Amino acid sequence: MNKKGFYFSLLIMSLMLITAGAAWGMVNSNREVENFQVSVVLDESTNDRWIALREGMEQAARDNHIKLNVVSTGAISYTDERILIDRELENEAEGIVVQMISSQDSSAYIEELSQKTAVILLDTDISPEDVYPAVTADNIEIGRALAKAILEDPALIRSNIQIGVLCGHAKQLSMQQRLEGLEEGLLAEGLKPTWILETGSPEMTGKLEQKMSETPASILVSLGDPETESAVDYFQSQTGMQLTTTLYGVGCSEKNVYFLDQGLIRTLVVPNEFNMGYQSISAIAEKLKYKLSDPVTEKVNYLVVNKENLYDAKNQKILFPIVQ
Amino acid sequence: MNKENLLDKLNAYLKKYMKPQSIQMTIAVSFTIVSVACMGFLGVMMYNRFVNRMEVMKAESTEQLLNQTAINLESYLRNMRRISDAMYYSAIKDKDLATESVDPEMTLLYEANKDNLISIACYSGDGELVAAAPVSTEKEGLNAADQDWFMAATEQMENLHFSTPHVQNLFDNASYRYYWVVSLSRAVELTENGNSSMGVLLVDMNYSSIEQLFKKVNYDTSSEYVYLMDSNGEIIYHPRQKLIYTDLYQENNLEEAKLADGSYEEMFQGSKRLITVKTVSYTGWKIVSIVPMSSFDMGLLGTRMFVIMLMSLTMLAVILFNQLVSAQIARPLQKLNNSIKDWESGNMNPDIYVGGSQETEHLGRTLRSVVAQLRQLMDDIVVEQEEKRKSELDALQSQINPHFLYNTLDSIVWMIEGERYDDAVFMITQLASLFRVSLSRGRTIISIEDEIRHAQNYMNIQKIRYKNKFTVTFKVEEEVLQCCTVKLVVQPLLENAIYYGTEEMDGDGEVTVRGYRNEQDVYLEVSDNGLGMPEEIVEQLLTENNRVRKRGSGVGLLNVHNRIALRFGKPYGLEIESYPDEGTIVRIHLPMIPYTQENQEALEKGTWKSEKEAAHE
Repeated sequence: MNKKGFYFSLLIMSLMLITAGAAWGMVNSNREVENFQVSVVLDESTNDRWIALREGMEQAARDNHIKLNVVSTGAISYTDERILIDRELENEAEGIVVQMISSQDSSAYIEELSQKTAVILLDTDISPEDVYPAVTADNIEIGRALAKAILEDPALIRSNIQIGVLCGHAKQLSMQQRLEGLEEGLLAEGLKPTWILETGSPEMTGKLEQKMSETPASILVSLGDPETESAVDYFQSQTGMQLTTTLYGVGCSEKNVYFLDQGLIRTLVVPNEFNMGYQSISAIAEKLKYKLSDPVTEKVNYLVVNKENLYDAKNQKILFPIVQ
Repeated sequence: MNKENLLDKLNAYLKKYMKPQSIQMTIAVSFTIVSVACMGFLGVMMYNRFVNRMEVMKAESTEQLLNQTAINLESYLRNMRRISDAMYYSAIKDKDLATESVDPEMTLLYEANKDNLISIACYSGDGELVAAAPVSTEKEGLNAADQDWFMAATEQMENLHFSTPHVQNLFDNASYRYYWVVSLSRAVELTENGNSSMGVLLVDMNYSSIEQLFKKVNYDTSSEYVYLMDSNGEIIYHPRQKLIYTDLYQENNLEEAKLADGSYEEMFQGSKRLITVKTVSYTGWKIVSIVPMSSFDMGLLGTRMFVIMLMSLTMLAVILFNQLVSAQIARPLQKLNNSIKDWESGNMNPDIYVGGSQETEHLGRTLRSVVAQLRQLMDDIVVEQEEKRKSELDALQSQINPHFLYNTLDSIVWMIEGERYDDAVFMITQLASLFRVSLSRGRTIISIEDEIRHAQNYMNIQKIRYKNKFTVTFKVEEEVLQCCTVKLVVQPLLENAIYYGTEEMDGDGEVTVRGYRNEQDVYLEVSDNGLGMPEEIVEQLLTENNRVRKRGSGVGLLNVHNRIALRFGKPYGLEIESYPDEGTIVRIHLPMIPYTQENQEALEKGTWKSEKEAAHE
């Protein structure tokens, strides 16, 4: 083949390739964007406290073409959680967003899980920290914010302060960090918790009642949403009695907000769970779309709310879910 | 780089790459360039027109969508106004609240519209609850007069006021439910014990009704969306409302709130967007449609691909078609060109192609005719040359006869007068033989045998004339005797040998005639022992400027040489060697051609060509 013939063949081949490429592009232009299937494993996933988180997740799922499956769970154990994850993997979940029930001894499991699928830790990191991508609240700061709320409360009577702390999932790093932040904040004023109650939700109210009868606390600090609800339940059970205990807590459920509105809770620290949900799904979507991406741990902000600022325009937008 | 250098470079480039190409290439390339340029231009124009039309259509459809949404929203708001109006004009205004209750009417209205309502409530001027539906417990310590909707109603009493969405903070709900509402508040006149006072009527619309209305509009998951804001740019509904509230998403609502109704293009966060604004009556709220150009581009991807495919396919077809057409046009010309190349290469009888288009066919026919005419002309020239040569020979021959005849006849007269009858008879016999050979029935080509006989006759006559002043010896090989020669080539050499070789000698002259073969050539040599010539004279003997006749028959060496060369070709003719005081050798160089009738005729007609001559040409 001479030079002209070669160039002519090259031109014809190029045009044929362009035609084929354009035809392929035309056929595929209307194809739906690939949907990834992501499963979310949470403790008590149907609880109201996750409304904002789920709202954020669903928004992110819509934005990132994710088929989201929030596994319906009650109170689950460390073992239940792993069974659920395995089941989701069998159901061809391409990514897992998981709130680890225990942050201890989970590193090997997460490492193994990361080899099989994309994983984002939610709400709490594991030990050692910052190894795997996680979306959590700034838990130490939440603890400090609680301490600050206590110490800056104008109604605080500093003499004979008895501080009781409710710490439900004590094996979770988030709880440990909140406690650490709280203790650190209190210690700045020479205070420290009188007692710390570490137990799960179902037994929490009964054990709290027992503890309060043994060592009454003038200040009760609950480090998680279920713990705050348990404390509220305890207070409600004390009908007719003079309440001398002030409750400071962490939470975002409508029940907790309601009792904040009612004045039963003095201060509520509310992690921005909408952001947590949105960012966790966005992070796993990025991981699924771009295999080489390496999401890092992200910390979401929080609000410190009391009865007076509950209906502030900014606070109500974050506190109250729009989804009815 | 200056302008001249640039032009020079461009010129050099054009010279290098714009060399004349084949006609097929030129036609194909030029047609293709023109076709592709036209097609590209048309494609781009049509695509742009299509895109513009699509943009207009998109803007129109968006405006229609917004109009429809505005109608639905206005209908909803009008309904809320009617509830408020009905409550005020049919119940509150007509009743003395000291004695009558508005609860039945309020409950009735609420029940009839509870899908869209959260509550209806009436407050006194100082914020005390007068009536509410559904019946609920007011929150402890609440002062409604501090709330925005209340203040708006009391500040502008003549108007109805629509608030932005907010969480209702009026009643205690033991099921921990909080409702997002849009409050419609108005100042009302309350009558109590006949005294009028100002109050505020509140209709809390369920925000989810507005949300549902807009969710239907935003059902598509593409990046196009519609949102709602009040006249100050405060967002009422946005599909990413919570993201905006938590700073994960930004909207250009404050700028867009300043725009009047219509469609605009804007740049926001580095992306170009088509926005359409529609204001809702009663409230001044604005419905805004956002169409990112990137989503528009995505929608056009299929069309773009289709245009590219169509253009490349058409280009492919045009190139192949052009190739075929150009080949069709150029092939006859190429064939004609090949015929000419064949002619150029020496084939004097080429097969000139006649075919193709009318013009090419005419060209072929004309060329074929030209070739035929040329061939005819060349044949004519050959014949003419032949005729010329023949007439020249005849002229040469005619030059021999009179002079020689005069001398010979004079000798015979003297013999008869001296009664030497035998010598006279011999002389006449030799003369007769000489003339017979000279005539040779008009032929120019004779055998060497005849030529030698002619030479012998001539020498015999001359010997008598010169009284045996010289001797002559013939040494001719047998095998050359039956070869062809041009007649009367030896006799002029002998004549020269007698005149220039021996006549002026003191002693007897010796003339030797030799004939022999050397490979495929025949040589006839005439040598004498005469005075010879210097080399300079020898060199000039066979040149044109030596045609000076001094003596003899007048048939010069040059003539003999030319006759041989004309007949047998340029490699043949005379070769002369001469040495002063030693003698001269004149050698006739002939090709060895057997004397047959066929060869003789070919040589006569001039169609014979030796191998040497062909090689020489």
